[in-house]
Amino acid sequence: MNNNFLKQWILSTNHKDIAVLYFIYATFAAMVGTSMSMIMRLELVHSGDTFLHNNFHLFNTMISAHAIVMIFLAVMPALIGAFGNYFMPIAIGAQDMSFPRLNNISFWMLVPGLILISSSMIIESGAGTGWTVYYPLSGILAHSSISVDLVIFGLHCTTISSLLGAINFIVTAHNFKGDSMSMMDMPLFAWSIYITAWLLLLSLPILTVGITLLLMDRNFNTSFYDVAGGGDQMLYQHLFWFFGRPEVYIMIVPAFGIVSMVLAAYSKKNVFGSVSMVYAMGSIGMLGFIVWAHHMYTTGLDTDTRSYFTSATMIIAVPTGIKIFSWLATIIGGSIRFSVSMLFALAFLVLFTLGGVTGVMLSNASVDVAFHDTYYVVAHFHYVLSLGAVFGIFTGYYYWSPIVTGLNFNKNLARIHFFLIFVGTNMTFMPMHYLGMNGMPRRISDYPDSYNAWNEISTFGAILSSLSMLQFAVVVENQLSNGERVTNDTLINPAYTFGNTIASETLEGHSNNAIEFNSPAPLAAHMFNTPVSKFVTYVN
Amino acid sequence: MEGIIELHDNIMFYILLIVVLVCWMISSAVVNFNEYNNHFSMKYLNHGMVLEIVWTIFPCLILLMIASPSFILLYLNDEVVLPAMTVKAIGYQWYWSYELSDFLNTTTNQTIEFDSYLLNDEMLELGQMRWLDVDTWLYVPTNTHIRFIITSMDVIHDFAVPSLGIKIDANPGRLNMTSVIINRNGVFYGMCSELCGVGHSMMPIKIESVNVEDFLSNIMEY
Amino acid sequence: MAEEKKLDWITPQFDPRFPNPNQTVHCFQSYVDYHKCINIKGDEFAPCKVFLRTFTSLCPNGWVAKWDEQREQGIFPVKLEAATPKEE
Repeated sequence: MNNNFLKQWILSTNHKDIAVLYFIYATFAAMVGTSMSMIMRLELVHSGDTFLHNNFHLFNTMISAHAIVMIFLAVMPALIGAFGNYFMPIAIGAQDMSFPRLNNISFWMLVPGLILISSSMIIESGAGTGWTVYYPLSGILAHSSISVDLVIFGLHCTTISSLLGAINFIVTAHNFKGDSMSMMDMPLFAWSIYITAWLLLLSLPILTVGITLLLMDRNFNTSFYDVAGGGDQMLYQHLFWFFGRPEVYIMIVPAFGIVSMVLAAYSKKNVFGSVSMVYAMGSIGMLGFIVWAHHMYTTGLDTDTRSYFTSATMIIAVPTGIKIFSWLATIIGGSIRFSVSMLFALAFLVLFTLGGVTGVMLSNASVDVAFHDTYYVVAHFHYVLSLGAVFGIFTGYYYWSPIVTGLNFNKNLARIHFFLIFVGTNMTFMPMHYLGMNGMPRRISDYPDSYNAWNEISTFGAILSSLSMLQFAVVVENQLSNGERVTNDTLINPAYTFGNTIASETLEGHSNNAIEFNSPAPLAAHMFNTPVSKFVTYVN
Repeated sequence: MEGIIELHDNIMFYILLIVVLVCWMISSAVVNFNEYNNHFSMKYLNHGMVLEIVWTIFPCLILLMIASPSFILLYLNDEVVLPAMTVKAIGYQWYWSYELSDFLNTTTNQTIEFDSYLLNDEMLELGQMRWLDVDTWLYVPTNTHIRFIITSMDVIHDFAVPSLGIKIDANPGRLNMTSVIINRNGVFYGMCSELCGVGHSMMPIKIESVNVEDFLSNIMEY
Repeated sequence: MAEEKKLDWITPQFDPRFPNPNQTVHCFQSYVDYHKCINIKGDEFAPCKVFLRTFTSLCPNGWVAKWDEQREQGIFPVKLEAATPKEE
C-alpha cells in the first residue's frame, strides 16, 4: 500500500497523475499569492497607518513575493504543467509524454522552488526588490540578507522545471503524434502548448544568466552590474526583460488554446480559421522576443531605440486582433450554450481585449512617460493576467474537470464563483486605470490622500476576489464529495459536451476537441495502448 | 504634458472604437445565437479569406493612425537644442538632492545645492499635503527651457513629475537628460517612480515655477 | 545687490557628439578635456573655462569631488598630463 502510493504519487511517470499534482500545487500557490495580494490591498485601503503599521519593507516583500508566486508557481504550473501535461498528449493521440520521468522531475523541482521562495520571505528581512529584482536594490549593499539569494535559487528551481517540461512538450509534439496527424492537424490547444514550450526554451536561459550574474555580483565580488567596477545596471534590465517579455506570452498562450477549444465546443462550431489562429499564436510568440525594451522606456534609452520598440510592440496588436476577431467569428453563427466554462471564455474575450488595448496605449514611448511605473501598468497587466490567464485556467477547469474526475460540479455554485470573480476582479483593477492616470506610482506602500477613493474601491474588489477563491474551493469540494457521476449519456447528450461530438464527426477541416470527450470519463490512466493510428474525425 | 494628454485622448478614441466593437459583437452573438433561439449552428462557417484580410488590414490602419502622432511626440520630446538652464537631481535613499550649478558665485566659487526631504506628519503645517510636501524645494523660472540631469548615488530611483510630463530613471553611474518648459507659474508635485527600498513612497519631488525676475532675486539671495 | 555678487549664468548647449539622453560621457569628457587643457595651456587660458562650466553644470558635485580626489592620489584612470615630445 505504501509502496503503491509512493510509486503513483512521488515517483509517477503518468502524465495524468503528474498533471493532477501540478494542479493541486498551483491551487495551493494561488491561495498563497492571493493572500499576499490581500495583505497589500489591506495596507493600501487608505492612506496613513493601516494594516501593516508602516512596516514598509514587509510591504515591498509582499509585492515581490506575490508576483513571483503567482507567475512562477501558480499560473505557469496550472496552465502548462496541469492542462498541458494532461491534455496535450491526449490531443495528439499519444500514450504519454516523450520523457515521462523528466516530466516527474519537472514537477518535483517546483517544490523546492516554493520552499525557497517562502523561506526568503521568512528568513531575515525578506526580498523587497519587486519581482524584477533590479540591481542595485538587490545588490549586496541594499539587501544584505540572504533573502534575495534564496529568491534567485527558487527561480533557478522553477526555471529547471519549466525548461525540462518545455523540452518534453516539444519532443512529444514532434514524435508522438498519431500516424495520420501532421503538425498542422494538431488541435489548437496542442499548438498553444507547443508554441509556449518554444518560448520557454528560448527565454528561460536568459533569465538564468541574468539572475546568476546577480548572484555572483552579490556574493562573489564580481561587477557585472556594478558601475564602480565597470559594469552597467542596464545589462541586468535588458537581460531580465528579454526573458520577461516572452514570459508573459508564455502565460497567456495556453489560455488562448483553452479558450479556443471551449468557444468552439459550446457554440457547436469549429474555430474560425484555425490555420490562421496557429500562425497568429506563432507570430505573437516570435514577436514577443523582439520587443523587450518597452519595459525600459524611461531608463534613458535613445530616441531611435524607443521608436523601434514602440513600433514593434504595436505590431503585436495585429495577430492578437486576428485571434480576437476569429473567436468572435467562431461564436457568431453558432448555437451558444452557456455552460460555466463558456461564461468564463466569453468574459475572457471581453476582458482580454480591454487589457490588450491598454497595452497598445502603453506601447507608445511618449505616452509611457506618463504611465511608466504607475498603477496604469498594474491595471494593464492584471487585466491580461488576472482576468486573462486566470479566467483561462478556470475555463479549462470547468471544461475538463468532469472528465478528469468523472464527477460533475454543481452548476449553481460554479455560477456564483463566476459572478464573484468577475465582479471582484473588475472592481479591483478598473480603478487602477484611474489611479495611474492621476499619477499614483507603483509599489508604494502609502500614498497622498487624494488617491483614497479609488484605492478603497479597489480593496473592496480584492476582498470580493478572495471570497471568490473560497467559493472556488467550495465548488471543488462539492464536486469531489457530492458530485454526480459522469456517465456516457451525459457526455454525448447535451449536459456538458454535446458540441464536441457534433463538431468532430462530420466536419471537413480540423477537428479540435474530439478525443478526450469520446472516451469514457474519468479518463483512464492509460488511454491508448499504442499511439492512435487513425483519426476518423476529419477529412483532408 | 499637453502633448501626452492629447495623444492619450487620440489613442483612447481608437481604443474605445475597438472595445465597443468587440463588446457589441459579443453581445449580439450572445443575444442572437444562443441555443434557445438558434438551434442549428452554422457549422460550415469556418473560413473566409476576404474577412480575414479585412481584419488584418483594419488593425494595421488603426495602428498607423496611432503611431504617427506618437512618433511625432516622441521625437519632439527629444529636442534639447537650446536649454537655458541645467538642474541636476540626484536620488539618494530616500531623498532628492538638487544642484543648480549654472550659477557660479564668482566670489566664493560656489554653486547652489540642497537636499529635499519629505515632511513627516508632525512637521506639516495647515494646507500642506501629506506625502507630497518637502522641506526645501526646487525653484525654477517659467517659460525657460530647463534641462534636467538625473542620476542616483545608490539604487535606481525615478524622477517623475507627471504634470510636467517628466519621468526619467535615476540610474547610478549614468546621467539621464530630459527637458521641460513650464508655461505657467505654479507648484508641481511628483513622486519617486522606481522601487528603491523602504522609503520608496517617501521621496516626493516638488517644483515651484516663478517668474524669471523672482527667480533671479531668489538666486541672488542664496 | 548686483555690485557685491555677480551672477554668471551659462548652461552647456547641445553637443552633437552626445545627442542622446545619456549624458554620462559628455560630463566625463568635459572633465578630462578641462584638465588636459589646463595642463597644456595653464590655468588662466580662457577657452579652458568652457570645459569647466560644462562639467560643473553637468556633473554631480559628488562625482567631481571623487575624481579630484583620484587625481590627487594619482589614480585617475585617464592620463591628463601634457604629452612630452618624443625624442627622435
